[in-house]
Amino acid sequence: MILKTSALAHTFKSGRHIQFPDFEVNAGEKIAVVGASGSGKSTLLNLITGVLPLQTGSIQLTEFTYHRLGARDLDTVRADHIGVIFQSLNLIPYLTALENAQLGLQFSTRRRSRVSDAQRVISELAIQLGLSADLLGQKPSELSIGQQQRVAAIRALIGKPELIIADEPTSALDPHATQLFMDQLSSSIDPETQAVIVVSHNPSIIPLFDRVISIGDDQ
Amino acid sequence: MIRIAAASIRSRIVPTILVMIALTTSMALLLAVDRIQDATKRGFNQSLSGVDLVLGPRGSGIELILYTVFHLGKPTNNITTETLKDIESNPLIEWAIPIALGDSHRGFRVISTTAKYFDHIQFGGDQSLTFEAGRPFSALNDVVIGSAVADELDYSVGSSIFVTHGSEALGKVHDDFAFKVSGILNPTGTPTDQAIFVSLEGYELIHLGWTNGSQAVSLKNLDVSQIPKERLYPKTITAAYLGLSSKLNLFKVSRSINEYAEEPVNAVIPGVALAELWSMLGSIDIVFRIFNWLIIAISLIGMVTMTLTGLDSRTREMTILRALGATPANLASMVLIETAIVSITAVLLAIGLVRLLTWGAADFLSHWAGVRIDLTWINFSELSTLMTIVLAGLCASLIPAVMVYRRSLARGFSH
Amino acid sequence: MKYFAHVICFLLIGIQTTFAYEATEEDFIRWENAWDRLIPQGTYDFVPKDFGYELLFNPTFQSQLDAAGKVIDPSLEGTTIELAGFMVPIEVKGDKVSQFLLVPEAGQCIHVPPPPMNQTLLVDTTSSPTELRDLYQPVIVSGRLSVVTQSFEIADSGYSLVDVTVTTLDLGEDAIPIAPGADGDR
Repeated sequence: MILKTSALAHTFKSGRHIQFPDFEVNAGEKIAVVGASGSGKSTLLNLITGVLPLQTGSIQLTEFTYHRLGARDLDTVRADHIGVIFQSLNLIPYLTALENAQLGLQFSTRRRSRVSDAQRVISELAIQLGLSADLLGQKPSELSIGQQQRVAAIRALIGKPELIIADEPTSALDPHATQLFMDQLSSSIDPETQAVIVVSHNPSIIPLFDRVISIGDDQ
Repeated sequence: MIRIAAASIRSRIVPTILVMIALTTSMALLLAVDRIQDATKRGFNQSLSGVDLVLGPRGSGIELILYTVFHLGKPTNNITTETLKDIESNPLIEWAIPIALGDSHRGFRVISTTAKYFDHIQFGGDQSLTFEAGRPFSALNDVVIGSAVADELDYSVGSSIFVTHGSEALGKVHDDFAFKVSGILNPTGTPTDQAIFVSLEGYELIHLGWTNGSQAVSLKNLDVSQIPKERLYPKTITAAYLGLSSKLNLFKVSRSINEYAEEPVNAVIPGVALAELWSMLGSIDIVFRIFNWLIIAISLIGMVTMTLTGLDSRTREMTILRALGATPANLASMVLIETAIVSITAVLLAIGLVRLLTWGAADFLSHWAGVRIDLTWINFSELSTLMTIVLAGLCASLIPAVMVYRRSLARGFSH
Repeated sequence: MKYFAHVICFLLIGIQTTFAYEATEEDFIRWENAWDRLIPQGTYDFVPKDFGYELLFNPTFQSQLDAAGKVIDPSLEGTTIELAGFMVPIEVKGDKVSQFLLVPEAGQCIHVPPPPMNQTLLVDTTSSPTELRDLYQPVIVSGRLSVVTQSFEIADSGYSLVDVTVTTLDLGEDAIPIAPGADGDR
């Protein structure tokens, strides 16, 4: 079991209240989270990554139960067990692609200990994701969107964190590129230990996934 | 983390360099001025010792010391040798050395005095003037030169020189009478190194025939050996150095000189005059120092402002790092590390700049006032001043650091 | 573009005020001759070729010297002349001098009498006031001579100069004038 949520809900300061469906993610699974714009997908991601404090319900990530952990510990859990790919602007502009990818290990001793030769691992992941290795020395401004997303993916994958979360990773890509990226991402994870959650509002990608979780609008 | 901080600074290198220039120069200014002042004071204070009183025309005591000892400024009046003789008869005065100023040689001051000068006049507390070569003057055309004069003009014992009328290098040369270097003094690190000493008689000789203010006769065809020495003893001199039999009589003697009725004269205690000078300069100094610290404060504020204004464009960066597991404390410390890098680099550059500034000043001071300053890289009190400034900078940058901390707490996904 | 022009102007002004003429050996000789020209020919003829030192202490001789110092050459009226000397400011407004005395040596008026009337010039720069320089900064002054008699605290003057240009003189390290045989000859 990688992720399990139960009775998750969140009330905003504005009074707005969202209820999330319970779900469980296991190793090797590819889950799509869909919902209309503003339906609470970001909130769910913030709760899962531990950035937003839990108000009610429970989240369990591998052996960690969120409401028992302090903020500091949550930061460690996030560093050790979650890899994040944002929708855009994933990379730090003044670092090279390689340095950006290495950031995945920066705050996690656990992931660092699993990687003895970061450069080699990064090169291997690059090949798997269809990213040409000589681009690794470039700055993000010199890379295309698709290439930037792949670098972000390497950063998320390095050191094998259990849960990969991708927030609308292909919204800037055309359908063919989307298909390609999703295929490459899926084949890059270790089916024994890792799982992927992809958030999207694009219905055409659904066929690529094992399961779909729908977030509705609860008032 | 430091690597990331360094790369982050490099991406904003232009404003960073500007801030660093401001910080570096303001810190360097503070230290350099401090050093130069300190060294100048010490240098001046030890340029002359062994002289209890300086006898001169009535006027500013500071001025008198400045033009007699340091060759800074010019005398505007004389005293008569008759007055000196009278005053010298006071049994409390052990020795008196008259000096006359006015001429020069290639920009170096010529001091006419008696050979006793080299016995009594000391420097640096208790060091006597010693000869590197040759001996004090005895013949009419003998001249003794300081070490800097010998070095710069490449003179040695036996070299001949002509003296220029007036204190600058442009002017009528007394080319009808050649002086010969009889001795060269050892270096002293004081204005003595840049002085040229002639006998009172030799000086008077070259000015015979100048009674209307210009050269009327040439001494070339004159047999100067014929002139009785007493006829060449000057009627007026610029000042005289006095040594007392006991320093306890200092005030008694200076009082009696100041009350001398026959001629308006003054007795000045060299140490007192210099102390007055430093005290006068001190009040200006305080104002300057306040300004200097203000500039440092402004530079630090500039550094913090630069960081603060940069925060907005770094929110994305913070989100990414948070997602990677950075704690708010991690992000705040990144800001502090950046500040530390900038400040410490500025400190190192300042130390180098101070060294450069004092080196330049040392050169200038040694030419202008014949005073020598020591050059060191840095001493303990200077280092602690600089560290204090760095610390202040770090404290000031806690503001953006805390802001980063709070902002990054809830940085996450958003649509 | 406008900034560029301003920067250039600023630099030019800066250069102008710090411009100093570097003298050559010929210049020094020329200037020395110019000062000598101010003394009419034959003024010092009364000085015998051979004399004993006693003459130098003779009060009659000394008053003759005083008189010789006052002799002016009226035929120099209207001629142009260029001299190097030192500025003794008389009228100063702010940092500009509109009248000054030019003397041949610096630090005058103390150990020998001030320069004689025929070795001093009253320089009039009212029409184009010149920068106030340090009293011991040599300057080159050129202009048209005029014969006039006035009285100032420091010295009587006999010559005056109008239509004047004043330039700062840079003695340079090597070109400091020295009489032949005066420098380090063994």
